Amino acid sequence: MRKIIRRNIASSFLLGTLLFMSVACDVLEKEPIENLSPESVFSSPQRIEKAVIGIYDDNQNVNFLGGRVLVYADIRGADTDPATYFGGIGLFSPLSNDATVTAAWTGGYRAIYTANLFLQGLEENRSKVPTAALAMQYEAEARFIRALNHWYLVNLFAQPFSFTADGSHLGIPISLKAFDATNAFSPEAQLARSTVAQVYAQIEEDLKFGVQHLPSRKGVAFGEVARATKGAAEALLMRLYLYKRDYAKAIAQADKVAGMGYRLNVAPATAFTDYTTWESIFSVAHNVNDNPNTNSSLGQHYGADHRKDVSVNPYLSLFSENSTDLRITTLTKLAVGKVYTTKYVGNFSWVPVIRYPEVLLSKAEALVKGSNSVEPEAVTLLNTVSARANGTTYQISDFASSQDLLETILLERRRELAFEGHGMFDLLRNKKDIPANGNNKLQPYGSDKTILPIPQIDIQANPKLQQNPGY
Amino acid sequence: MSLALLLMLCSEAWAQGRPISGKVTDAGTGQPLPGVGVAVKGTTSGTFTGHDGSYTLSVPTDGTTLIFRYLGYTTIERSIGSGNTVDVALSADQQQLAEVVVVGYGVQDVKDVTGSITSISAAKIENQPVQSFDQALSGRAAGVQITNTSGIVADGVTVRIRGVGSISNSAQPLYVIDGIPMAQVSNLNSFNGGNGTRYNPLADLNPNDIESIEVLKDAAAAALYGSRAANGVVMVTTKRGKAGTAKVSYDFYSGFSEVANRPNLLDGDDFITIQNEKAANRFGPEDPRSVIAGNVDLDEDGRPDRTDWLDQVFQRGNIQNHQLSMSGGSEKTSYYGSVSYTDQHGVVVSNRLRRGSARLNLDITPKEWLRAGISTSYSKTLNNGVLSNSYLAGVTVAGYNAAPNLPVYNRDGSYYLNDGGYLGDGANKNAQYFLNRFYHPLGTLKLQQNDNTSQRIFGNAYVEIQPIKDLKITSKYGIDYIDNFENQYSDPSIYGLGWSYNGLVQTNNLRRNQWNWSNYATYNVLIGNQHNVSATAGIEYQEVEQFDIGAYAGDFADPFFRDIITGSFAYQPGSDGGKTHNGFDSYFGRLSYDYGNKYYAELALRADAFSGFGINNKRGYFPAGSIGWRISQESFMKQFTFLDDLKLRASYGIVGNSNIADFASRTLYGGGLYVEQNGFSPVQVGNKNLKWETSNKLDIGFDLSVLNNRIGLTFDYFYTDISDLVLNAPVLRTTGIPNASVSTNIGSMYNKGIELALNTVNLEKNGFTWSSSVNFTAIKNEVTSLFNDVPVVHSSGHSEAAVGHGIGEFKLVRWAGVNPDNGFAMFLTKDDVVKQYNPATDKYYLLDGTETSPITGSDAVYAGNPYPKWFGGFDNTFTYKQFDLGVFFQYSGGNKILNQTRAGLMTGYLNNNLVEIKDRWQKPGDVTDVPRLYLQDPQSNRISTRWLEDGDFLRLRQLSLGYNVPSATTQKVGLSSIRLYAQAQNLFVLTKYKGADPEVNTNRDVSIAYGFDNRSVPQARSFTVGVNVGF
Repeated sequence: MRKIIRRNIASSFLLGTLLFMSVACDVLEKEPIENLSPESVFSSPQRIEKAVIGIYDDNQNVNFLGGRVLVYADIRGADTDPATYFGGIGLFSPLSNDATVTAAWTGGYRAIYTANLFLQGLEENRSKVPTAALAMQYEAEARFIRALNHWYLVNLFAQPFSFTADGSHLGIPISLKAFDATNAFSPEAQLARSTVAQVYAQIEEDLKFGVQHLPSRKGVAFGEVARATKGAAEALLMRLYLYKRDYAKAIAQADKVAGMGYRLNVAPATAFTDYTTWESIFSVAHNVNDNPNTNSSLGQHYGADHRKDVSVNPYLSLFSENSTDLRITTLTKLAVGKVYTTKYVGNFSWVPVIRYPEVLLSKAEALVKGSNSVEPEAVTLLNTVSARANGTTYQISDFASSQDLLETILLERRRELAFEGHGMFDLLRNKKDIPANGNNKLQPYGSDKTILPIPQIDIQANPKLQQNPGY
Repeated sequence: MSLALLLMLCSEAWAQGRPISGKVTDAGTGQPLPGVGVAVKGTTSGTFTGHDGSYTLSVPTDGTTLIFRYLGYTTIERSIGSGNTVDVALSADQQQLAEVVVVGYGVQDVKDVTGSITSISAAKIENQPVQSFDQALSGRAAGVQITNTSGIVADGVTVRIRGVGSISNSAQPLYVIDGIPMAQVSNLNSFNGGNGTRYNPLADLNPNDIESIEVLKDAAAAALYGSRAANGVVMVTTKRGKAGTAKVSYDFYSGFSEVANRPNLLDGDDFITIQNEKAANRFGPEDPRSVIAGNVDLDEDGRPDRTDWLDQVFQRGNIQNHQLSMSGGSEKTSYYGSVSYTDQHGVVVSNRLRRGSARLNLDITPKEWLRAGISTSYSKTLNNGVLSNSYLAGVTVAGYNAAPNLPVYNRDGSYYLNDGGYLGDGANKNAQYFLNRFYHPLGTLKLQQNDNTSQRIFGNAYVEIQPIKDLKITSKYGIDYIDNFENQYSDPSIYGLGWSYNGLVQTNNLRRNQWNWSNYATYNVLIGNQHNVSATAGIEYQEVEQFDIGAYAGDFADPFFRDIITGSFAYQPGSDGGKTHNGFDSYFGRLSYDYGNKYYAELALRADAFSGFGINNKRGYFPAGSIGWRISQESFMKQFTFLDDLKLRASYGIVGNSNIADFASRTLYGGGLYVEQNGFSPVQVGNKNLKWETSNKLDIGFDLSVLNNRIGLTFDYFYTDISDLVLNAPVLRTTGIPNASVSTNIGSMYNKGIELALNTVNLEKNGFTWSSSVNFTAIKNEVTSLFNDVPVVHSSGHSEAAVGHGIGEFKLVRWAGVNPDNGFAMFLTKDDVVKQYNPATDKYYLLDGTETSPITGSDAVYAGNPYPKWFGGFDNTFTYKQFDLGVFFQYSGGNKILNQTRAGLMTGYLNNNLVEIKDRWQKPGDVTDVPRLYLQDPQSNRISTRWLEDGDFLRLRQLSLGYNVPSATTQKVGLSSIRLYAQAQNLFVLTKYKGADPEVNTNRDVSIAYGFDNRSVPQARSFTVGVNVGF
């Protein structure tokens, strides 16, 4: 009997412990340690400012504006050796399931998502931003990034504006909404391709909003190149009008930018070592810690001391033999028998989106194209860029026709803006073929393979999405 | 039953009669068997054997026969005769081995089990040259499919119980060790996105410490693990001491292993011929560009340099294993302890695993109503990993691709590298014509380091009290603590991070702690002599905390430094890390009833709440019910005298799969650093309604044994309907959503099939026995719904989950052979039109030569399924006197394999090729499957059904021969037993598969992309010899 009592004392003790435990043990209430909820992100002015920074962080997408989109435009241009590293892109042979193409497409829209998500969050929490003007600036920054990504997407995945008279051919889907779990699978999320003209119109609208609300540049602080500014929006609008062949507007835009204090550095190489001079209008900033393990930075792909995926021997042919042009002598390097650009030498190298020389050359080009004459001002602009690099100085008399001058301006563009994401775009918008290059065959202007396939994975899942011909 | 026997035996042991003594030994090993029940038939007299197997018994005058009973051995009756001595040898009985099975929160008598459970005994797992016990389960249990990923040591193992239970989530089962759930992690390593060098955490457990493994397959058996049971539960029980024994034993085995089957690559001469033919076909034979490969003679021995890179990267691995264990016990205490050390050199150079482990299991019963015990183990494993598939530097990528017309070394003995840190180019025009750069296969293996050191503490302590008769209350607390340190070193001379940073060390330390506290009560009562009622109810908590921290250093003062040593490096990238946690809180209960050991019914319920689920669906309820009818106990069955036991079973229940990311249901922002500016970026789009996957499981089966248990048959039909599948549902890329997916419950599928396990004693004559065990599983999976019924496509685009098809169905363009007229590759459109491809024009043509649109991804059709439709094992044991021979086959089939290894080695780029390429088309009229060679041909060798092959195989997985030194001899040298044995693993595979091994699964846990062979290291074949000494 005593034993039973003793047992019962022991078991009561154990049962009591269990009972206590069932109350005390709360293992379910777990909040993330590594992450914040959307509500907490939009809870204070400081945090909202950080969400703006996040837009730029996602704009650094390794498969897109982290640098690769520039590579894709140039390895499909005329001034690099054919590059095999990037799936079928560099060989004009991608299939619609090409992983590199799919990653580029995904990367561009991924950056757009963050911008759209921010815009939605901002809309609900505008009152938490200290001033209305600052809220408008944030909105303009998000829309700037959205426009920028749409820009590169439409130029990679659709024929250039000039393919039809009014840009009425297929462009890309325009993404203006960040979907969530409740609607990401709905038909609403199945975006169809807008026409190129519609895409241009959307970009134009976003950039114009930027012109109104983005801060003007005052100096050479990090954010004045690495974040969107009024000047950056104006300059991209200039590029858009040039592609659209609206030369008057392009000239007007160029003049606006010129009036904002931008200027060339003394040496062409400076912009690639000092990233925040008045020559750089907008760049995607990088440092080593942004992505230390990347295989996707410009410095890795182009760097003579890195992966060396892209050599640029054909670039030399744009210059005379033994040229002392500074863009040869200070911006290229010979390594293992091949020529490499030194614009990008490490993971820290910034991605130049638009520099002031482009503004000068674009204006020159627009002047000539708009007037079909040998515009003296165009020659002056051309000389400004060329002379800085110790290059040829031209006289008006050097040009027998406006076409001569135009070709010279376009050649200067290739020299000056090489490997900055213009190669293929500049050829196609001027209705030029992509020339044969090494083992790559000539790709006639307007032919199917000059643009990339819409990734199969989206074609299969979205009945509204139309594939490019030939894929 | 045993309790009844005990009472019966003890009560009248001292009755009058004549004394009989003798010794009971194990027929297999000759070892004495302690604790064997010896009873006089037809009386209540009886006793047990002592620790030396001997017994003395007083037999009543009417006693003529002795009965010897011992758990796990065949019961023997022996007539007493006129002498005073009766010695017997008992043989182990497969049927009886599983007399008691481990179930959730308890054990059950096998005859009372109404769920579907397969038991695997220690003998099938011990002393095998594997790193983790799951590898040794291959072919052992019906319904359990084991796939080794590769021949790399401690690589992941894919375990599928009754088919694939999930599309996006892990489909691995829950492992429960001594009642405590193990961490559900299939790879501890995180570098290279967790896909570089893998480490299976089950390798932390010493397989020789395992006593038995029970696989709980249906809902009835697994229901008590509720939301984690959908993929089945594997219950592992470690060894414990037995009362009345004291034993020390030493186990040693040693052996070697080699790659069982290597790809057949071109030699140097053929390589040059083939590569130059590719170029000549493109540029014309006279064109100077048509020579792209040629000889070099770096060692200046007058002969062109030649290297078989496979000889360089593969090696004869060796293995040794030592284990010292001690076990025993008295009435109140029992113990088992072991220490072990294993050292396994893999079949790939530099690949090695060393593990030391120690275990102590202790049980004490100080009072008849109180029992307590601990189970503890510690292990430390150093795994020298190597990169394999998916990496250009990987052994099977670099090693297979490298040109054979190059030297391994420079004249000075350094590795033959080019200026870029890649493999030297020799006379090959690599830079223009390769698809991918070539790493130095051997230099990479030797100079790079990919180590991880795992330390694991796994243990539990329990207290069990019995306040009143029939009621037991148990409290059990367990931990699973993992500390994994990854240590990568990248050498500056090999292109890569080491090259970029002048040497780079990357380290990551993961610490994961899981505690689990379960408290439960079990009540057993026998009412009215026939009504057996047993009830179990309890609560359980579990919490996991995990963090990891990474530190890095580069630009070392000298290549001498290969660790993070203060002052030895100039470059220090930022450190990084992560931290997370999750928790379970659960209630469970089980009610079992049987009437006269004849009619059975059982109900079980678990209510699980998991922190990871959406706020709207935190808690789930998982019920199961089962019934059984031991029809053999019915009086009308008594006429069938050959019948020993026949039980019909049926069960139905709902279990879940909660193996999702800790915060999968949340929409989250994370740190978003833009250069030096801190920001927040969205990282995940969550779903508040996210809940567990639901598995509705039906099982109908029977267990039959006939002819004195010589034949045992278990049959099961199962149907598992899985709904609310958690998909990382792919969103359109144009949405831009992070990871291009949202975790959502949107889909359903079923697995149905049959299982058969047949155990027979085929021959038992003149001391010769032959017993065998066959298991067979046939299974069918079909996806029945998905969101909008849009297929879930794997990123490769080659396989998917699609409604109306089995999961992982291949979707490929169809290959139509090579046109004998021109050597062009031909493909079928989805409408069965043949199109041929001319690489020179990069265009497609109809057979009549008219140009046509290209073959595209939209021409792909469903082409077959990667999961075996049937599989199983066939084990034979032969014994004669002191010898035993085991012959174990494993088979599997009905599946397709996408042989991307082969595809990648048959391309038109400058790269080594398989010998198969010599069958290429050369002139009109050639009938072959290999198109005309064409340098950098982008399309002819595209992924198509050309690379899809049948995966049927029969493998002689294990052949073993053992010899037990007779006890007369062992006793002379003062030992109680000596066993010698030799084993051969994976001696041969019969298959038509052209790759290295049809048991391959490069994508490991990715259920929709199973059956890809993309440069997995081939499986090893190994030979070991061992000795087991008992003191």
